[in-house]
Amino acid sequence: MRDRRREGCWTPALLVGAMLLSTAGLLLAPASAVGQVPARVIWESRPLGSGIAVSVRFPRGAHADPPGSEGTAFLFGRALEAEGARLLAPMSARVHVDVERESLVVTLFAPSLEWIPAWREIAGLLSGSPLSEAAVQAARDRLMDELLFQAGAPVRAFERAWDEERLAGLLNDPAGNGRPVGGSVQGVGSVTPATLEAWRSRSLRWDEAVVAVVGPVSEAQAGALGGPLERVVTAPRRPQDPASPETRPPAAVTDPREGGAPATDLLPPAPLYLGVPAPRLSLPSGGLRQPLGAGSRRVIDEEITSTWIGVAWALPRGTPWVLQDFLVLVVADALNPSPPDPGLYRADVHLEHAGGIPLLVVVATVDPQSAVEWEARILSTLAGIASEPPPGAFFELARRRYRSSRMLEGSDPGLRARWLATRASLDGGVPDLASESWGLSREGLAALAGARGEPRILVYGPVRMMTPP
Amino acid sequence: MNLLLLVLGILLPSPGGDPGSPGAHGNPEVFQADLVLRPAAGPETHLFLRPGQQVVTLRLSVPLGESEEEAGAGQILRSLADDRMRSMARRIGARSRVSRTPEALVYDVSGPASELDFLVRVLNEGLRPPEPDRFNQVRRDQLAEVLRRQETPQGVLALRIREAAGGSRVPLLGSTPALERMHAGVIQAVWERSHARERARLVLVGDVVAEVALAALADLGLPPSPPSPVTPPGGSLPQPRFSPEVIRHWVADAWPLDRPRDARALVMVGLLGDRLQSGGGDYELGAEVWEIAGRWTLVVSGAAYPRTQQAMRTRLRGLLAEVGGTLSDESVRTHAARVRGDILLQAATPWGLAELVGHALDAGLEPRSIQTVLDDLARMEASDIRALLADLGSRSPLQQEIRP
Repeated sequence: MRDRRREGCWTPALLVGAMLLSTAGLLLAPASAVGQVPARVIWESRPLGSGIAVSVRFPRGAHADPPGSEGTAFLFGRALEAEGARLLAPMSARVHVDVERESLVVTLFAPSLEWIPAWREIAGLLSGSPLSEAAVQAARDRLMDELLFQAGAPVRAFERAWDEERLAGLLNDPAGNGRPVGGSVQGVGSVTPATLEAWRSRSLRWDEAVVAVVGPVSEAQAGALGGPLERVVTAPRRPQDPASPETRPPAAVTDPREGGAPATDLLPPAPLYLGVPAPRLSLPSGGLRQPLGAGSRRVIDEEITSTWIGVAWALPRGTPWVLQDFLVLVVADALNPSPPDPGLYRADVHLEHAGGIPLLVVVATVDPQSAVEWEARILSTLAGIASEPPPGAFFELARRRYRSSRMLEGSDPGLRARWLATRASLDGGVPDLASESWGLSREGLAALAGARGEPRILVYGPVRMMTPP
Repeated sequence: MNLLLLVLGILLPSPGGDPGSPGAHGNPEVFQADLVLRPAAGPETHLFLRPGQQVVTLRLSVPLGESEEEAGAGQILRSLADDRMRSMARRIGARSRVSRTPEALVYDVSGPASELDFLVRVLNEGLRPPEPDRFNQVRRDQLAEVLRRQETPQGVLALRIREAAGGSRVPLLGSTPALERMHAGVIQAVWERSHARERARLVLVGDVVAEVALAALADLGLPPSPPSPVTPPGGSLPQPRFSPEVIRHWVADAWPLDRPRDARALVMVGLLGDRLQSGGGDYELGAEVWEIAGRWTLVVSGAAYPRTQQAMRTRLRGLLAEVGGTLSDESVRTHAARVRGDILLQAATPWGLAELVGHALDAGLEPRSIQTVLDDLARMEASDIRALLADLGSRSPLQQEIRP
């Protein structure tokens, strides 16, 4: 193996040349050199990271698909991913694209020395560099294969009906509510390279984009991404007063996941509280609009072997994201007992933004004979949290579980960059999880659960088997 | 002057430094510990400080060898400890895992740095002596796993190749004779022999103050050195030779590599994969790098029905020449870049970095050997692969096969 550096590639002449390039803004201008200036750039320095993650979020996704061409955004994402992988292959870099109803997020991970050229390639594709015909064709073929394979699958029919049910009236384009993000055979079949280019030029606007960069990146390099630069700095270490009630370990711990058995011998020692003590998170002041009105309940009778239950509640706008996200964990914990309930196959709980409104969404797959019981259980879980949130020790452990899961997730630079871009784009700011999670309280949790809107419910399954217990 | 420094900073790797400084972009120090402690009473401790990330990973390994009579004891210890640690870690949402490598039993746990005390407690839960009440259930599960592997041609070929390449005669998963005879006393004896502070190695990666971390780890639940940490000699058990019922011919060729951590092998696997995708034929072929007795070994294997088995053998034995005939600097650089990206991506999380570093240390290598592999990959060209092909071509591979 030859060491090109030792062979004198970095000669003084080249350095001078590089200096001139730098003066022209080319080396330090990964995005703006080709005319893209995002609305904001969020920068988190990790000086000893092994690589750099850059994520860009555009606030338009599948909802901007042209009528009759559902799947345009999704196919664009797939083709971008394939073309990006081809261009980045010599640079040890990776690119991943997430397309959702109201967003397209592209995340890049690259070694320190290669991230600027890698980002330039991806930014170019997002700005109009043509996707190769081969990449588009390969992505289309693969997507069509998947859609044909899934055609007629009950789960797809449920997803479509569920989109229509929970999003009714929340999006600007009512016709788009039931448009599947991943497209349809007819929709994807009608997409041409010109459709993709038209979607790109209409939907991906850099002045609406938020970029986040995480890793060993200097301020100058991050600033050269264009747009106003905001640095994320983690809270300084400052242990709280050990005498504070917040730092005292709970008096008695029982774990509901283990059947409520006392577990005082395994009492976790109190964590060291780091960062500036956070104020208690609470709901925004003012009236709480109920955007879902009186709610709804729809049953679709289908002779299948499972029943899907979808329930969505609107949450008050302006509620701190950490509080909403914590509610997701508490609900998910309550709906996924250990040992598992034989009637429940799976319960997924997540937050969704639709038309600027946060929705708490539960989708459960259950045995049809347990469907009535599980629908009631899902509804009573939220009501129970509102009237009687987890008591002290349970609450304390739930809060620590929430904190751990989010912080572990954030240690992956790619996930962290994506999260930073998403939060900055949707909420305007980036929560300091380490600090704000200590501001979670039983009262705040109960208030949020109590402020939920009326639920929208869809039950999809064999009605004749769904008998009350 | 500032402009010149800026340019130098972009082009040349900088030794870490302040993230806010213009030149901080390259990280040759990623795999270099901030602090290494080797106290006489153990454990050997490698600290990788990552301020600002708010998360910490503790990876503790204890060297573990088994005699033939004990084959599978490590897996039983692993399973018991894994359950104990998970049960405790999930109380606060921490991430834990216990794994068995050829060299050691490895315990790792990750969570918020603010939970360091509890994470040490989770680690101690894994390190404590095995509980006898669950022994029989776990032994039966392990025996079923071994029997399942012995029924498959892949499992038996792997065993034979490992043995032929000088690997341990004691299978990592365990053996049926040993597991059938094993009792809780064997597990206890293996634990007592292996789990001692002096023998343990700890890799800590995360957002901690070194003094605080070391203080938390002072309570590590490991006893001092045992009277005899040596693996007892074995050999009294019968070693059955397995012949699974197959309907295809299964063939494997293997080349143990002379250089430790020879990065060319990783690229070679990618190049072989390209050839296998483009070749066609009514048979299956595959290429992998295995670690056997501390050395990387390139393994090429294939399976074919009787009517195409000759074609498969001819193709398999000609694969290296095929790679040589289609080699280009571009294809080598592309595969080298991919492997390099995989390693860097793994090192991006505290637990990924702890695993990379800990695995190297357990194999008797310095952490900088990972950087050496990355450097080799960054500089790799077609001529390097040609040299490897010439070397492999000059030697007869270890060959194993299973016939219908």
